Amino acid sequence: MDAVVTCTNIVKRFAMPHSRDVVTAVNDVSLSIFPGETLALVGESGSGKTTVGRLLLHLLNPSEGRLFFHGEEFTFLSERSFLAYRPRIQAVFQDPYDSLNPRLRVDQLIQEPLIRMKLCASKHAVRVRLAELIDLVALDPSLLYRLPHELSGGEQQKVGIARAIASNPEFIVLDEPMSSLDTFSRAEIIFLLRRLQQELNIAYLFITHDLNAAEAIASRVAVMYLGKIAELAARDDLFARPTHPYTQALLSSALFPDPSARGSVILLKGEIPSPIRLPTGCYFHSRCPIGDQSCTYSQPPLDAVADGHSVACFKLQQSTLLWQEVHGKASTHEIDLNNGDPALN
Amino acid sequence: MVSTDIGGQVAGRLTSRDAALAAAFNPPRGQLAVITRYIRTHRAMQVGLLIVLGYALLAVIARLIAPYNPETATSATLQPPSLRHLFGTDVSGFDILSRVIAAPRVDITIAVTATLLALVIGTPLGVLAGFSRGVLGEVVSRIFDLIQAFPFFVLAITLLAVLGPSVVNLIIVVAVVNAPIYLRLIKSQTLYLRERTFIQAARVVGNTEFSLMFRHLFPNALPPVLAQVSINVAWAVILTAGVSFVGAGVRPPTPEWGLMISTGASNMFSGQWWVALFPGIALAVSTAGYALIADGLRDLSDPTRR
Amino acid sequence: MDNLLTVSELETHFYVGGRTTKVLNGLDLSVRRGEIVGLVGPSGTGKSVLVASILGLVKPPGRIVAGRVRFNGEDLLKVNEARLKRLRGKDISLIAANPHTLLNPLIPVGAQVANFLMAHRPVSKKVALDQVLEMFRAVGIPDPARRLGNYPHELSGGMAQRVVISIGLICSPQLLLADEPTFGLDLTIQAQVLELMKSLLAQRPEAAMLLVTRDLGIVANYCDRVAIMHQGRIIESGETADVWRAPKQAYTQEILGAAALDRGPSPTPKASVATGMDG
Repeated sequence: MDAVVTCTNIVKRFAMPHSRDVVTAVNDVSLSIFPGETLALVGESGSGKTTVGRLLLHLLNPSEGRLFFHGEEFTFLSERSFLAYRPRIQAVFQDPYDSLNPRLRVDQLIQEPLIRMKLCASKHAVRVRLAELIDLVALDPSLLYRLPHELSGGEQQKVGIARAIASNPEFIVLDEPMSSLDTFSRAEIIFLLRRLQQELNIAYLFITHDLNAAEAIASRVAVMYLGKIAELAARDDLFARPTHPYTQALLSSALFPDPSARGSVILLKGEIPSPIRLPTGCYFHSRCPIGDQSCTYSQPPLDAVADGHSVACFKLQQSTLLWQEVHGKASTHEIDLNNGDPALN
Repeated sequence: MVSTDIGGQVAGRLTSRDAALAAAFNPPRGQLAVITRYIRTHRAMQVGLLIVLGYALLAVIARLIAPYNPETATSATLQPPSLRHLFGTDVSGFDILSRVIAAPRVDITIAVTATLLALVIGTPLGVLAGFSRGVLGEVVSRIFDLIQAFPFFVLAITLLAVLGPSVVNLIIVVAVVNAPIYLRLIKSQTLYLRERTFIQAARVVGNTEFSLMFRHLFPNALPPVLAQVSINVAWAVILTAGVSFVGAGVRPPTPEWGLMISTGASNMFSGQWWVALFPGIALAVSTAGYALIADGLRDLSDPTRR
Repeated sequence: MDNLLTVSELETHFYVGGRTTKVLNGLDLSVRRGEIVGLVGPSGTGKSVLVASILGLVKPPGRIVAGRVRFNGEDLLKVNEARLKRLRGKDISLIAANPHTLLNPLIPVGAQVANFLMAHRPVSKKVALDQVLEMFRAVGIPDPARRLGNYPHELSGGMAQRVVISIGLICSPQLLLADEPTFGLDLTIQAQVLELMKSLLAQRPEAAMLLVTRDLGIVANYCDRVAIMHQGRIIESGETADVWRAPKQAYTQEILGAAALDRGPSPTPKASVATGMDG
């Protein structure tokens, strides 16, 4: 099956404005996203996940590597040439208030893609499509003529989502779409996103640091650390059998709202290193509970350990043992693979 | 083209779709109501508007209601305020009252036109300077920095000496002197806005660089600057007065406050206080009016504070 | 059954724009020694106002109108400001979020903590700094001696939060009020901070913590008891596991349900296509 979007060996460096330091935000990342699926890109600050999103949206140019949309390369396209792709690649941003022009009304915000990209034959058609969109995202029609600051966080994000689906895109980059929302709005938005994905067959790149949310919506998960992918697997596989020690630490730090599932926490040593002065060898070894001298000579390659499951670590045996030690048997979050039968198509 | 087929699939959806359609085709009334309601509650702005509109009115009808022709000399020189000449007369026998109320026409014409011209020159270039990451932006900024580096008064007088004193030249000079202020203000707003997510979002929905600048950046960068406009008009009035005070601006017998203050300054020492005082008060009150409006505009221009 | 803090029928009202908002509307809450109580409610429900009310820091347009706040038997709403000042920081202390807005950017962190200590205990500067060094070590700040001289902006979020925690703990208070103490911190850093607070409290069984948060994950994993706040009152409270298993109020059920973010159906086969099968 053809990937919708692919990036191969992407590197992105930023020069710091007042010094000669260079930050390598993304360091040799390759990903493919397939039609109708959700790839969750998970990581903490400095992981580079947001930068990957920006690169896929052609908001940034990569320092190295290539980007493809349905096999067509768009790495070096100018802004003007890329405009032709924009209807098919859209975005929902983190802080919904910040991503909406504060002077435009809700209706103007949602219809902007239709007008800019000339997607409707007439003004009348634009308004009809607008009505369709607010209905799709279940936005209260009385809010149509309000300004963003008059809406709640959840409503603002619905506006962002309506705007993103206006052009009927095949692929949407969602950059932490729920981190500034309250508990109820988050649940609402997750359900909305899942429903839209099913109805409209859109692929999502879901960038987040919230593992709860990732688990709720992803079909595959990629874990990033300091610009590199540490682990990539199908969702159930990742949550049941996290193999990279960073993934394990992350999962144990992720607090699921379920008191009966209190596991022990794998505590990491120290702080996240500055992306300007990266450690030698494996980036994670300075904080890794099982890292040692042998991890400092070179960077571990991202290798497959099972079907659809890749890990970048030199110490796979030890990491598997570590997880068993900490978690003993399967945690209550493991889906019962027998009853998770895909009867859902 | 995007499909607009609605074709009711689920009954429940159909009714909500109707509501959505109804809303999409029925916009509410306009923004004017908001503005007038705002003004009604903002006392300081009301006073400022009163003053400025009062002067604007004078600009229009002064010559009709003035007791004497502001530019006709009489033999009644240096008369103190009396019933015949409410503000007295000056050394050439001009009636000061008539001249004081006729002056706004000149001042307002120059100040408003010059400020608008400065705005028109400065703001688009400011957005460009703030948004462009290349040489063009730098060049534009440096040119305007250069202009702004000169003490504005000295610059104004020098330019007028070159161009020759006339009302049109005065307008151009005041505009040139003020444009860098707008450029700098808009540029800094643009630099800040450029990093905000809604600009990235605007790119993603298909805006070109040009429409980004002028549909998204400009409308958001401009309003905070608009409050500056009113103050700027006040400054332009003072600049005009100042330039005329030293003789480089408006020429006699055109009535202009600065000129009148200049003429009457020496009279202060010989005891004829009225010649310079009344134009001075008129100038001060006018400035205060613009300042009060500026205050009100600043609040009005922020959509979240209304 | 030793109640360190008992809040009864607390009412704090705010007067804005001619209207009275009853932010706290008859609130009852208790915290026992040795436990961590989680206070849950979406933002804007007044959790921070409750913390301010307990500390006696409610300022106009807000006012505490009724109720009792008993700390160690003493009603804090009836004592004078001098006594409150002595209690604050020493017996009841506050840890809040956003360390970089709480810390003075112009003073090195070691000095800030030391100043705080000296304001409450009669110790000399040298003794204070020694205690601060100990505290920094206890909260896990690496290379603590060097950090004493650092300015807040030289510290990462996690490090700065530990400084804030140091301030909160240095006088060994009995009651710790933690208002979103890990807000904005990375997951792994948050884990370090929460584990730290839990272990520090475990060492002092006479102390207790009121942990205010909207993150139900934190509550589920770190709080012995939970209190659900809604419209100015506590509508449900109890042992965390009990409340989760059998929530009585509709609002509690809703909020627990929303937080659970059900995982949805198992991903469809076409999605495990990293190997490229199917069509």
